[in-house]
Amino acid sequence: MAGAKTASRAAQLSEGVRHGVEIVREQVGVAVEGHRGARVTEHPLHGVDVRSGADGERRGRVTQVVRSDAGHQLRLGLTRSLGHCDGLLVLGPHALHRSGEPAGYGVPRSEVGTVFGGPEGGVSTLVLDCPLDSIVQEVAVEPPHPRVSTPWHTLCIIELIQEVGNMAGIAVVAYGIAAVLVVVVVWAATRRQEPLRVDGRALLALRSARRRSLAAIGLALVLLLVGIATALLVPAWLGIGATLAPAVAGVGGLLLYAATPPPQDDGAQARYAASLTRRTVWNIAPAPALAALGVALLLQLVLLVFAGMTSSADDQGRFRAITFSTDEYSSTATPYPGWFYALPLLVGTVLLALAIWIALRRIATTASLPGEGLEDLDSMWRSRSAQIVVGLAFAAICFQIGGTALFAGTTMGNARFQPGVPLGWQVLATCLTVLGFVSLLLSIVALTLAALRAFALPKRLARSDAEARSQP
Amino acid sequence: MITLDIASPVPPFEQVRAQLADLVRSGELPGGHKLPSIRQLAGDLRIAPGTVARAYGALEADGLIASSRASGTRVRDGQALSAELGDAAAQYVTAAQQGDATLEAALSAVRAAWELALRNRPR
Repeated sequence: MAGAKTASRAAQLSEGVRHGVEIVREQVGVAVEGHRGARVTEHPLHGVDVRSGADGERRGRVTQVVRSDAGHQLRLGLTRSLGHCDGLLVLGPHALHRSGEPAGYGVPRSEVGTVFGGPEGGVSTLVLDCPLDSIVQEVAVEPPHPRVSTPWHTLCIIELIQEVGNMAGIAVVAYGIAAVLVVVVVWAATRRQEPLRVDGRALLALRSARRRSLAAIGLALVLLLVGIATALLVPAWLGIGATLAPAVAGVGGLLLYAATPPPQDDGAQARYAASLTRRTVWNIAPAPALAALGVALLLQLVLLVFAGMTSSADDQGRFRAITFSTDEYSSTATPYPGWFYALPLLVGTVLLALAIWIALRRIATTASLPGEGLEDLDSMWRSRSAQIVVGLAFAAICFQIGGTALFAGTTMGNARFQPGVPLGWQVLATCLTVLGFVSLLLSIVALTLAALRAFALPKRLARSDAEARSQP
Repeated sequence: MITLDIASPVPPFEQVRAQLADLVRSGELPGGHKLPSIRQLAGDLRIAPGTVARAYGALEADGLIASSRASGTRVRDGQALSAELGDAAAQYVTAAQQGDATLEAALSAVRAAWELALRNRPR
């Protein structure tokens, strides 16, 4: 694996520097755009313009990179300070290293620009604005005998780790759209029915339920997109807006559903019927759906507590990093869903659970359809509406779990590349990453199904009603 | 399931009470069955919650149901009539229907027989 080789390379380099040297090792994610495949690699630092642009054909960027016109400025987001190191060694991602080219650059600490940062700026930013002439070392790493010699006793190694780039992001969006299309096609193929007449007394209520469901899903989608957009629009929030987006979207949609009043009874009926079964939040929705929702909520809580307990503070004291430390090495990566993210998420999860209860209670307490002979239809309307509400809530929770697990897994995977870290952490990181993708997929499927159920509400109820009547 | 006839001369309170009492005594609502909340029943029947509360109160006074803040309103155990009595009632209803008697007439006959039996009971 590229990561393992990187770790090995760092270890070998440190041995080559000097025994007893103090090494502070930091890993910074790199997003690569326009990757053309494994055989078309570039020197990693070309993309961040440490050198003078080179072919300009490939464009890469480092997280928190600010390009300068001169092309000599590099800004790296750091989660810890450089300390008192004498020199700085910047290594590129091993996966992008091209044989025969320098794998990194060494710069004396005195030539390194400012290290600054603050709450408004997010992580600390190291400005490597030295002129090219001051790059005193080009680190040639030619396996299997990497060598580096520096005049420095204390060295800070910054490794650039390849992250998921924009192309991968586009691929994820494409997969999401494909998942939606698959669900829609399967739904259309398996649920196609001729529309049947619905009793006029019930139709008004059914259409109202459909409007209410679609409005809730629509609002949830808008809130989700706005929340995710804040990650780009307001970087000073450090992704808190995007982190809370699923919970806020779910709460907003469900509360809108609960707050929309049912249609008023026109009083035209001479007789009304009432069931003698008490309707509660727990018996209007299918038990398996409620069980799945409960499991998802529990998993989210466990995941958040675990992430919080394994997190570490960044240089601003915010628990949004994960650090693996041994006597010789320290490896830190962000953003990790530590307490900085986990505590707001825990509050959001509790609010989401409360909103689910309010929306389901709203379904349970709505008066029955007016008139006699509509009992089965009334029961089915409640069941379908509860499925829509539970589906929306399940989608929100799965999106939260997906984001939490994905960030935890990838960040943990980035940080654990150093000697002495048990293999179990990599296994855990991989499992979390897989869980993240699966949860995001489940979220898309659940939301699509909820929307389809809402769109099909009157027809579907008519068909179910006919089925119920045909049964002995 | 109970129904409410808006056009009936019988007050809504009495309609609710009588139907629930019949269902309890016939055993269709078994002991321990949890009745809907006052608000739910009132909403479904489009009547005031106070009307349902009054009906529940009357049923509770008759010993058919029991209400508590914790567990809501439940049917009390042992309120269903015996199977023999049910069978006898069914036979009587069959005979009444064969004789083209209305429900009111059949009930009147039962009331008259009931009063007569009370008067003839040895003291």
